[in-house]
Amino acid sequence: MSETSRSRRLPLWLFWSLVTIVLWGTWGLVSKIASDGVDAYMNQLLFTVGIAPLLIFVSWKVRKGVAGENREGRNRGIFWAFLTGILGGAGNMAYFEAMVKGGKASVVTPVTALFPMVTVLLALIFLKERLGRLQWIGLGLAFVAIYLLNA
Amino acid sequence: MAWLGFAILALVLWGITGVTQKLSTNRISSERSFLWFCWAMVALSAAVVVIARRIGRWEPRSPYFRSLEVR
Repeated sequence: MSETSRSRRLPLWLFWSLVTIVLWGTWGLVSKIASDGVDAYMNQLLFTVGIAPLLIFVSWKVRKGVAGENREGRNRGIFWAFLTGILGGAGNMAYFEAMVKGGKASVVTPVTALFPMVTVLLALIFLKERLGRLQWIGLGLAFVAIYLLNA
Repeated sequence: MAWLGFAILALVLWGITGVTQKLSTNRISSERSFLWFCWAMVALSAAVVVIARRIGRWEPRSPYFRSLEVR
């Protein structure tokens, strides 16, 4: 399907968003299946092996140079990116351990998928971002969702 | 309900990454940011191997891998 004909039916951003939903949803299912045979440590190792091809591809792309980079503050940017990887990896391990401890994929995945509400709270405090009334209501409903998923 | 504690831990850690990722991409490109994200994963995995071996949680010959060997 060409880009033009697809964009007539479905916006490109929506297409890639749906691809993301399908891939992440499948990841939740695969994690649950894998949790029967491997522990969280082995899972982290296998996860890293899985991202190795992407690492090689992006290394090649970055080496060729990327547009719009601010040379000032690069080290600080790298530090935050590295910290993101550590926290993300630790989060992956906790997610997998939740599956190993008997959590259902149909419950653990939606609960952990509410992580943007933590981001929102931290962004309010540290990045000084602001929310509207409806967004606050949405945040409150996310807490209700966690309660209902565990009821 | 031990799983719930780990699920909430994952939720909090992933939530923090939303902010750290924003702080990173404010300064460097998304490609370079992703690259260092991957390197952190590699570093974490290396640390996991060392720590898991020390605390005796490293089971490269778990039933899953034994079943693969049989096939």
